[in-house]
Amino acid sequence: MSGGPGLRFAETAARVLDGAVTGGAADAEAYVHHGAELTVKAFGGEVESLTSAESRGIGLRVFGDSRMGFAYTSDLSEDGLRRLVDTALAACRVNEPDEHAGLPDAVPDGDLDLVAADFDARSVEERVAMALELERLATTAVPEVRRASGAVYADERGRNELYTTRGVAAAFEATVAYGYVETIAERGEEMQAGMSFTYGRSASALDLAACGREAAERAAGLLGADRLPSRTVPVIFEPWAAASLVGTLASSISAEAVQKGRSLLAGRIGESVAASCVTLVDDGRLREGLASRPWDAEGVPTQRTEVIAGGVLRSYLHNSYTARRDGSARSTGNAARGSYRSTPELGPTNLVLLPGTAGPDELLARMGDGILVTEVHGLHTVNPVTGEFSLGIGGFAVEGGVRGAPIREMTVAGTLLDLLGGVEAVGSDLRFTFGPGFVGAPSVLVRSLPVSGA
Amino acid sequence: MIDDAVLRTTLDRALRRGGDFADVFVEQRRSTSIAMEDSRIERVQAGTEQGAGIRVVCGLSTAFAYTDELTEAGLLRAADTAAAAARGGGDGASIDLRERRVGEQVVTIPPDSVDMGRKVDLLRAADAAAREESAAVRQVTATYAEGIQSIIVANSDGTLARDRRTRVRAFVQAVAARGGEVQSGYEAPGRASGFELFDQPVLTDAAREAARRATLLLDAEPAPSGTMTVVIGNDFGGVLFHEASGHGLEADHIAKRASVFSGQMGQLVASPLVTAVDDGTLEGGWGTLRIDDEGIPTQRNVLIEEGVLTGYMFDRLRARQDGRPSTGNGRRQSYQHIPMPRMTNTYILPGESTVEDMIASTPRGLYAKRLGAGQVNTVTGDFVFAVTEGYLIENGRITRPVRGATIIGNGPAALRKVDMVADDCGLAPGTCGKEGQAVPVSVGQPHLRISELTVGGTRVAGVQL
Repeated sequence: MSGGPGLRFAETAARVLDGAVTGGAADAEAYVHHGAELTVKAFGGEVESLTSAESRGIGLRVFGDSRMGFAYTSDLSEDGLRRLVDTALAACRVNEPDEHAGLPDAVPDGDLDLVAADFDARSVEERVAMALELERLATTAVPEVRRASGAVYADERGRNELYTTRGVAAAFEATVAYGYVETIAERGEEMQAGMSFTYGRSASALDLAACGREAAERAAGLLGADRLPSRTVPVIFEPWAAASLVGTLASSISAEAVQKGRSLLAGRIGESVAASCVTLVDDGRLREGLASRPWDAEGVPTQRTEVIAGGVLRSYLHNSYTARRDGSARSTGNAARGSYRSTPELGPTNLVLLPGTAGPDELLARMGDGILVTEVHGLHTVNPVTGEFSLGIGGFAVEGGVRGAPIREMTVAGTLLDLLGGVEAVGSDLRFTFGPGFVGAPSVLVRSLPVSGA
Repeated sequence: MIDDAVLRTTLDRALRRGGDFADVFVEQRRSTSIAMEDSRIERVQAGTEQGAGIRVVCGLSTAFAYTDELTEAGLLRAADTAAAAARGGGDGASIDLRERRVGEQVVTIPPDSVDMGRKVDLLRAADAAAREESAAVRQVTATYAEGIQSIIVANSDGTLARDRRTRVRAFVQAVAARGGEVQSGYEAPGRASGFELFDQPVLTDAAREAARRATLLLDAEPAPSGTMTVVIGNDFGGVLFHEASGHGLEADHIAKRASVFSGQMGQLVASPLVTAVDDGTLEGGWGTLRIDDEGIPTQRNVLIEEGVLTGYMFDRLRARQDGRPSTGNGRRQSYQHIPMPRMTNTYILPGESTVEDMIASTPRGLYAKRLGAGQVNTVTGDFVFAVTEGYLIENGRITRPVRGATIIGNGPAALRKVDMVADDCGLAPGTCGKEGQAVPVSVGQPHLRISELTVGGTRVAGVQL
């Protein structure tokens, strides 16, 4: 490959790959992750903690006789590496043969600019001050919010290196910085919490003032929240709430789930699965996307994949294994690893519900009477096979297109397919949050959903 | 893993620019997992993570650094980083380490001594058991996991302590289908023990239970919505107390006044029927430790006694702030994380009712026999949980199974509304997350009844979807 950063772990990788081949492997792949992090937590105007560390580890896949074995270690001593090779080979022997197991044919190609030029520009002291400043901003923005349960500034420079016995030797780096704050609003005995975060590729990209203000307003806005009677009403999900719901689709659009009969979208390619205003893409090369990378966890170049276009299901997400198993598919560059400690699995990169043209107020006006959902709870309870969900919600009652009293201790229920089909409009206000990968969505107006409360 | 002399030098270096307290946490963790899906081995993963975390505390401020290099050079480099980040006075007096000896965990069969083939056989048996239980079962996923964590804690108070923690666990999910309906059931038995756990048929039992639940749900109707009486099942039902109250009893949330239980010590915070403890000493408990991750022996802490708040859970830092000893609740996910107050095995003690009486005296309600994972806002105590196995209670009898129910409410409010506690306490293993750190815990309780709770179902009163 060209233009990438240098290879730092080439010697370690070579030793491991040689060991694997000597031990009888036909093919092998070494994946190394190295990270340098700084995390600062502020509380009560003081630094609660400051963490500064570097870490690295290696994951080894070996292939032979149509079998795959995997092992990992953070012990890069000679003994540690020997144990790594032996463990991977032993795992390979107990594993069952699978004709689709193997390295991908595609190899890393090209780089993306994921490192901020000014990443190292600010000193540790300046970055410590940012955590303190975020807390100060969040606790002085609105009168009801005088304290936070914590404010965080964090950044990381991560490096991924990939080596195979087929001659791949590639590396890329990415930087990320973020700020996060949770505020507490108080009125009498009542307390409400609100959070917000800001992110970018370096400290200079963060908007601490907007983040602090939003966290404060979210907490203060929920003061006095109460339950409403149960009924079926139109619902608007604000961008972060909508993005969280979009994130729950990740398992259904995975080719692995489809092939294993665990997807509610299995066998639906070419069919309408959502309202026509719904277009969902997975884009591993999106500049502002924090899950962007030039190539995926097994070295396949990333791409932009249209999953749903105009409500019609176009494609599932593939890694090289599911593509081979499918027969006619190609990897979409969606092999993903949680860390060096896991094998390449399948996951979204930047998964985006594309925005429309309507502003948030326009959507409210269009809804008239209904509920504005600003937060959803219990997303892990969504049944990925049936799409059934019943989620806790916080937000506001809306009357005549105007945001009214806050609500709490209520739930909204339905199925993901009903939800997708019931989308009446998407807003223009696209925002991203951390999900599986990095998930973005605008406000979403849904025709009607059962909401339970008092 | 590392010499005592190196630990002492590291502590000296960590405190050389001042600080009230420093500690070194050395860890090696060897893990193995084997996953079977559709009767085939899907994945075998094994590996080693090792390193050391070094902390320097000044007042309430912590400077922390970690390294993956378990060598004198690696530790000293991390100590220098932590020292450079530490702010504040104190002296750099030399430290005299004295080993605190604690008993060892009894492990009859170290799991890493067991042949991989035997572990695979366990999974095959589970797969077969689930399919045998119900003809509707279409898929079975079964996973075996073992972990052996060896730690050394050394600190500037002179404590030196070691522990080895062996845990084995299995996960099984069964998917049942009939017509267009698809439902799943999940069980995950585990124990802080060696491979002897599997001398009993725990995995095949779990597989049958998962298959039974998945099949049952095929015939379940959509859950009703609204406010009603809810009976919560025992064992894993304790997750409700863990999430909605336990976290609020951790001393860091209290100190930050970010808990509904702040300033409530000695007050009635629950129904007088409720007594709850956190006990890190329980033999075999998933959250059991001989010493916590700060080298302090674990103990049994009574959190709520007959409804009255009697104790919070402390780590060193929060105990020091409060001028009291730690309760042995200082835990961390790994050497890469800073310790904080965490639960161990947390449960509600048995009462005097029977499950039969509880159901019989409920005219109308929901029997939430099994809960899924939940989410809670520790500031307000508001929670939401999925009910993964639920039944309607009508006229004092369990009638039809329902699905898709969630229960939603407020921790302290729900605790006050507990009006019956049964005599059948049990514990179940779980993984608890807090500020991005996961640690093994047990949750537990007997069956208990909450007089009024909001149930969110897919069926709205009066409106049939």
